[in-house]
Amino acid sequence: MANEFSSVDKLQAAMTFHRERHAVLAGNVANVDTPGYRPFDLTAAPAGDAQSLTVNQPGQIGSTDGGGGYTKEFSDAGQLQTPDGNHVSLERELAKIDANRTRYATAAELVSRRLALLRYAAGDGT
Amino acid sequence: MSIGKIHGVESLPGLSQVEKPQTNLGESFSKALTDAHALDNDATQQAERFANHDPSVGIHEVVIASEKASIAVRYAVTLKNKALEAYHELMNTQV
Amino acid sequence: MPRVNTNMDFFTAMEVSASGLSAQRARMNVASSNLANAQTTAAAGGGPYKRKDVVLSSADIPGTEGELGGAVKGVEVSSIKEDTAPPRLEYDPGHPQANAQGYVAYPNVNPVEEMVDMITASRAYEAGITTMSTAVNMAEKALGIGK
Repeated sequence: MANEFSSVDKLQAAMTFHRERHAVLAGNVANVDTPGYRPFDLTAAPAGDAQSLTVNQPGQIGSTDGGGGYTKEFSDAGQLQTPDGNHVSLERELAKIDANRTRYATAAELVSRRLALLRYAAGDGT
Repeated sequence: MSIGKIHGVESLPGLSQVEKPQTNLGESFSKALTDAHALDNDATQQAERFANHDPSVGIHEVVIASEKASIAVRYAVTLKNKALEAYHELMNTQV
Repeated sequence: MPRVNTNMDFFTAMEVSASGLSAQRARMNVASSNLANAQTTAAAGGGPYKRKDVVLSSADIPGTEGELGGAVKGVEVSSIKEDTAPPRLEYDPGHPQANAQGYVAYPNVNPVEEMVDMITASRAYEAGITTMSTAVNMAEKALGIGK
């Protein structure tokens, strides 16, 4: 039975990533007027063997989900900055937040559908 | 006129690819019970940690764990019913 | 060993958004105060009203320091500082606050600038509300798994 859930586990790891990323993007929105602030973002390292992250590279963050690591990065390449050194574009951050939310919701939906299928199979169609 | 030797079924091509079914109802049921037990324990623990505001358990983690446990238990019950059905059929066979 | 997840679900994200709302409200309050006192020639402590500014700095949400390598940052008002620009002088010898040369010192407040500050603060506040609603929406989606 445990093998049947493997795609669910991967989707769950994706949901965790998107939840963390929302917190980072929310921080960018909160700091839209902070002098000198550069916006952050998270990217998910290709999901591999969690044990292979034995050395912490600079900027690399481990994940307890077993779904690979995240990398934190500055996401202000080519951005205009205000005279006080702030690099946040509100529109860009809000767009990212919305796209991130969509991915979270999609993963949740896919989990639901997979579980519904397994429930049906487990109950022998009754 | 020579009559060729009749070969046994074993020499038919492709027959070796057909495996004997590995499923043994008793073993499947036993494994299903173990899985269900493990997943149920995990779901209960996660729910408790969530209730205690443990930072390592979020909403989607605890909901998914609960659903997995529920499906695993259902599966084990289905196997149990099948085993029972098979037993009754056997007992009702006229010899 | 720093924690690697900002778990406790959306708690951290919502605290971050809340800190942003507080900061923008402080900016709106200060801009309102500057506008209201644009003509105040005799403030408490003597002299014309001095324009104020909110100084913001990014800050860790208490209890979440080091999470996600420090990529999650809230914001706080580190201080409210007075604008050191000199007051605006107007020649009006009959005015009770006129000095020996007949000039009255008015606050160094530019109403247009204050209005712009209020508008940008208001826009940033709205963005914070939207972001917080998104977190709530995501949590509800998680709750609906399997329903």
